[in-house]
Amino acid sequence: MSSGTPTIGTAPHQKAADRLSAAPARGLASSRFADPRLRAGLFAAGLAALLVTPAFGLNNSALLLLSTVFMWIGLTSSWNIISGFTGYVDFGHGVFFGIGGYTAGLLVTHVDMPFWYTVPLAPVAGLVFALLVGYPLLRLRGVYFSIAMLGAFMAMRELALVFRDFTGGSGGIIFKAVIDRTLFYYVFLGIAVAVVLGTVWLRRSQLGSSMLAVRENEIGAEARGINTTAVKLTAFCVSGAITALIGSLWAYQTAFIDPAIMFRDILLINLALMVTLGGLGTVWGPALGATVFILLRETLWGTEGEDFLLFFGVALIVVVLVLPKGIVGSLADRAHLARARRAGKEDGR
Amino acid sequence: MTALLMAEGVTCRFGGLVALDAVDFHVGEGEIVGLIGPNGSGKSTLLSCLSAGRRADAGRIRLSGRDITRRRPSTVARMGLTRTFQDARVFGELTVTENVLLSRDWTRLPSFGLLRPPERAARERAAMLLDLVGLGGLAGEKAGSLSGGQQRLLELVMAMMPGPKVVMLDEATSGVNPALIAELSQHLRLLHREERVSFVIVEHNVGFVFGMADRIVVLQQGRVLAEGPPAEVKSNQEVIDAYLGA
Repeated sequence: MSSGTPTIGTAPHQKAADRLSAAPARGLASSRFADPRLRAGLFAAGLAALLVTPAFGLNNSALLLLSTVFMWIGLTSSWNIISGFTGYVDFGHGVFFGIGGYTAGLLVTHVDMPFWYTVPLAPVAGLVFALLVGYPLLRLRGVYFSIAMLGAFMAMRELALVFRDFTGGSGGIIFKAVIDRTLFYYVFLGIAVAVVLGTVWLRRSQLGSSMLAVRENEIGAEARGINTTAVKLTAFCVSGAITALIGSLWAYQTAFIDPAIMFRDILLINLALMVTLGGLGTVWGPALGATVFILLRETLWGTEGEDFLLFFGVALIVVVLVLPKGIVGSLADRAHLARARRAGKEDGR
Repeated sequence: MTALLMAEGVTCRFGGLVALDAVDFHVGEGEIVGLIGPNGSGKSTLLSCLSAGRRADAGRIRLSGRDITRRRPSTVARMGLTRTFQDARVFGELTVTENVLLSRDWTRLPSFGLLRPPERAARERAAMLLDLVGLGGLAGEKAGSLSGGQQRLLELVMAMMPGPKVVMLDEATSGVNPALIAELSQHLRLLHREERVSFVIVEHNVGFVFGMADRIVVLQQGRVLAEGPPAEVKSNQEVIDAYLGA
């Protein structure tokens, strides 16, 4: 292919290129919040506060609640990579959570491996499974892929039940209990921060942009030289590996796993709800959706008792009606529109 | 003139319907070839086969002497054959700049380039091409918010971005207002001159294509009906009867 060097008047376009360079990374909110230094500062301050929080004598239930929020931030952000960025909505993503948990459980019980040694192997198992399943299934599109993944999820749950000599079946696997809420607080905080920062970086990278191109128009992306199979498979593998890692850590924290726990339907529903609430395909939406969802659920559970699901359902319906692209997606759209109007006024358009 | 793109005996069937029947087609270096014919004559199908969007049932296609018959579309694009579509396939939720940067020359990525934002050279080329077609001021807008005509211009820029050898335009003037069509011709001429790229223009706008092309190929019912310089094709009685009219 011929050179990528511009042949028509390069120099005047250097400034234009600088001006445009910020455009791909542009995200949400007002121009003030769009300042990357301010965002980095806010993020660092928030992280510092979370790092010192356990030192202020939080009780175990508060630590568990925060750990749960962090875990879901990791899960939703990783699900968002395949479902939000590439547009391949994975309704069976919980299969990776189960694979992670069972990888750890089987290695601990059958090989006598210390748990922490299994931690790097869980994402590898998730990655291998993603490769094996993703290569054929990512040829399907739309709802067909979603249903096929749901099938994979259910099949793996059945396998975990049927091969009881190996997996323990419905009797499950018991880990040596580690009751250290502070440890898991920091572990899941680390996971959440790593996955969110990874998503920020991915969105700025050309790989991330390629994923969005696949979502927007797969045939068009392929015509632009993007190997869409490789891009989809990469997204699926990364997403699956992270979820498997989180699954293994959650299994260890829970100290007991069985197919009903590790392959839970509710995990699939919660993932979809949280990400839809925060903003599918956005960088910060899944994290925000997970946080709002868990805190809202806990609050309503505390105040409304058994009726909390009713209030919770109504609250979710209202949010989806008012903010159809989720909190972050809708706010970003409004900010974009406002910016375009301002620019139009300035240009006298 | 050296043949850059060469298709021999390309046949494409849709069930019992033969859309292309052993079509021979070539594009020379720096040449502008107009591809015309009635609806259903096989123009867009030929474009799809050439760009690997549809696999030919028979025949062979070469680009710069390399066989591309069974390559995937992204590979063909990376080898230097890009295209636009009848319905502009831009990435609506992404900005205009992002659209162009996603159409870059992927064979010239720096180390770990996929994991980084686009490098300066790519951004400069994107800005240059956008300014060239007058879309520079809309660089930060979402592509989906552009008008149909602007989206066609954007798609042209996307096709040009990697510095291709051959660009195929599928009904580039469809739904574009006359003033913008005149502008589009100017842009194409400039790009043709400056980038030394060959164009294949599939068109129903006869005035546009006859004004642009060095050579015209007429398809009818999946076969080449006539081929030659615009003036010659225009006066060909078979072409007049089948397509141009009196």
